[in-house]
Amino acid sequence: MSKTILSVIKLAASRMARWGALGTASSWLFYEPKVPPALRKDD
Amino acid sequence: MALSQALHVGSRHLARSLRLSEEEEEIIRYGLELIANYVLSAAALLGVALALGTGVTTIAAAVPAATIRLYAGGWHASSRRNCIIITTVAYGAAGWLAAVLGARAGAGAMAAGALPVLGLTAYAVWRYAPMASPQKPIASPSRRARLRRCARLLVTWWTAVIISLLVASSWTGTDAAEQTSPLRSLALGGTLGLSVQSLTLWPGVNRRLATGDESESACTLISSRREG
Repeated sequence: MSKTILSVIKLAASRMARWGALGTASSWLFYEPKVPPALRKDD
Repeated sequence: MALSQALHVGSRHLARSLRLSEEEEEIIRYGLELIANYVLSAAALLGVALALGTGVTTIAAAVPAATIRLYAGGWHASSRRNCIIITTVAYGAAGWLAAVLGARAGAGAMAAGALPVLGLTAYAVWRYAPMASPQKPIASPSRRARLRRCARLLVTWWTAVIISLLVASSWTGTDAAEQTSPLRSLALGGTLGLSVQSLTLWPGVNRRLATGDESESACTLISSRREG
């Protein structure tokens, strides 16, 4: 897969992770994956 | 399990190709997991809703509940599988009930049923939000205050929207039109969706759900061990 596509996936996942970990109280679903310690530091 | 492995492989591949640190790889994996959960649950819910012919009322039930849940939190299932099943059944049933009852109930009956539910929902959000999950504790007081503010604003907004829909549906004129007002089905969908979400905020209901979910997970674990 080309680097550009991988970078776009990385950017989307990274933005989603930061918003999911810090911007919200919960997922809109009934399941919450464990927030990585690296993101908890920002809390 | 297969999806977790696929996400693990995917994030590892990304990390190697883009030369990311271990910390960044963890963040990417968490982000991919959120995206996968959202896509799978939305697909399951929409699939069931379209099969039942209740797509619009199911969206009307899921969207207000989901937006409030982002900021209010609430009970969580112990696994992704349980989550997808509960999301599909809870919001699918709310959408189906809204479509069936919304087409039959009169404006007075609908208001008498919906207004107390909306009141209880607003009270639960006002009183208990944000409810953090063990997987995502809220450590910062300023973040907690911001989430509470957003949850309260959203529940006020959705309550106002639903009441406006109920009022507009009673202005449809003739009895025949009143019986089939689509606005009433939308209002009922929103009310039922909000009630599902607010139920998960009440501490008593939360404890009962957690006990049921843990026993179910334990049964699954025992049966899978036996099968293995």
